[in-house]
Amino acid sequence: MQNETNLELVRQHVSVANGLPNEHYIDQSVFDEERNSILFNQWSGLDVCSEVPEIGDSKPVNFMGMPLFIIRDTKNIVRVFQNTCRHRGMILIEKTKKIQGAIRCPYHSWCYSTEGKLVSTPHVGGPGQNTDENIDRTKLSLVEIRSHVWRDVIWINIDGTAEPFEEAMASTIERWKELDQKLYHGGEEGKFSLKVKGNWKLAVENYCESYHLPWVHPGLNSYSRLEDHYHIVEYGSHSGQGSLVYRQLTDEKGQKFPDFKNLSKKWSTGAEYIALYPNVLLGAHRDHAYAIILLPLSFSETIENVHIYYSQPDTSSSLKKKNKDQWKEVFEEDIFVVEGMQAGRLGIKFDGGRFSPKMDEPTHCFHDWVASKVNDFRNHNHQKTNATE
Amino acid sequence: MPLNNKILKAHHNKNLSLLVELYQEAADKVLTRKEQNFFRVQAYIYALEVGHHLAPILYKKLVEAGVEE
Ligand code: FES
Ligand SMILES: [Fe+2]
Repeated sequence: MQNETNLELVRQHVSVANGLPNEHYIDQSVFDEERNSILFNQWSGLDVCSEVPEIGDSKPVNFMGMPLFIIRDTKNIVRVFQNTCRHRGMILIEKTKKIQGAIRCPYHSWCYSTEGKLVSTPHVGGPGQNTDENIDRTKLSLVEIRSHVWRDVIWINIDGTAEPFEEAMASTIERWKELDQKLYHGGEEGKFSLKVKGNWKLAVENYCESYHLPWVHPGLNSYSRLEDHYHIVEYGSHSGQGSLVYRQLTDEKGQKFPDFKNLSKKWSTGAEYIALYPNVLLGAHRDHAYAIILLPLSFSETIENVHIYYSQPDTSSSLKKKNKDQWKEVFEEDIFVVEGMQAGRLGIKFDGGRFSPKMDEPTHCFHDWVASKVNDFRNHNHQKTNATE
Repeated sequence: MPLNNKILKAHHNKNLSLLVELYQEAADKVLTRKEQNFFRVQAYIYALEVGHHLAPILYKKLVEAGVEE
């Protein structure tokens, strides 16, 4: 990149800091820089295991332009691979499908096991001859992407340099330790996607704070008022908000979702909403949880994949539908804000904006994280350049 | 229907298990060892893909013929 953005002001204390400069939302070269400095080298959310519920289930997923697929192998382990054949680079899995035996490349039919091993290379040594002295199958396995599963979310570290997941996410895992229980995906009534014309970071920022509730979510605010919220701020890791007045949903017969087991008292009316950097938004309540995975399509377009979970497998589907509709309404109410902030950043005199020291610390926490990671990445690259000079 | 047409039809219908059987049949019909290996490979690869019960048998035959590892 020719001109690096100036991140000095972002890293100041929230009371004097500015937000990330416009280029972080509207410039292709900064988008590319962020791909390497805050998405590929961290633990990013890709998808959820419930998308491949049975052995052999596979699904292609594009992450920041990179073709990947997820698969549940014959030993019931969910793996992530680069979706590119080791022969001539053909895309292996075009659409969601069940692999009965092997993954056969549609081009020249090289076959891979669900564990990624190259198991056959038909006619590679000429017609009818599947071997060749120069083709060492053990060196031509599919390229596996480092992955980890937590709360059903498949997290990936594409460049392989991040600390082990449990270490990198230690403070969040610790915070929600008592919630570490089996999660049951709500099925078709437990998922939906939204497409937003905004940079993915704006979705994170908007999620972090409760400041906008009385204006953007007046319905929510009637029972979840601004003063009933507290900030969650862990510099270097995550941020969000907690609510003290969560009320469980009930159906016509007065039924509720069953609770997760042995939760401490704070959860009887508490709820927490955490943005786990870079791109996963989590919500937790006594009786359900959700994960939103942000998949950037470009610097100005993002898909939000929402998955809702319960403590038991067979909960009332009408209640699940009601819950899904309620969340969908809330998240849809946020779309115009994300899109409006995107459009606002085309104002060339915008300086990244100021933060309310009282209300915006969770948002600043995220900006600070982005700025620190981008800086680390630049410093590392400068060192490399200097070393080779 | 001649075998060749059956094979084309099975390709067209993406009936992979049927392809396993038809290519196997083709392998049994041809005269030279080379042709036999060719068709057996075709049968084997589709068998691998669909997890067909003939896959291990075809594999063994190919290994014995020195064309698979
Ligand atoms: S590109 Fe996959 S087998 Fe040739
Ligand atoms: Fe909101």
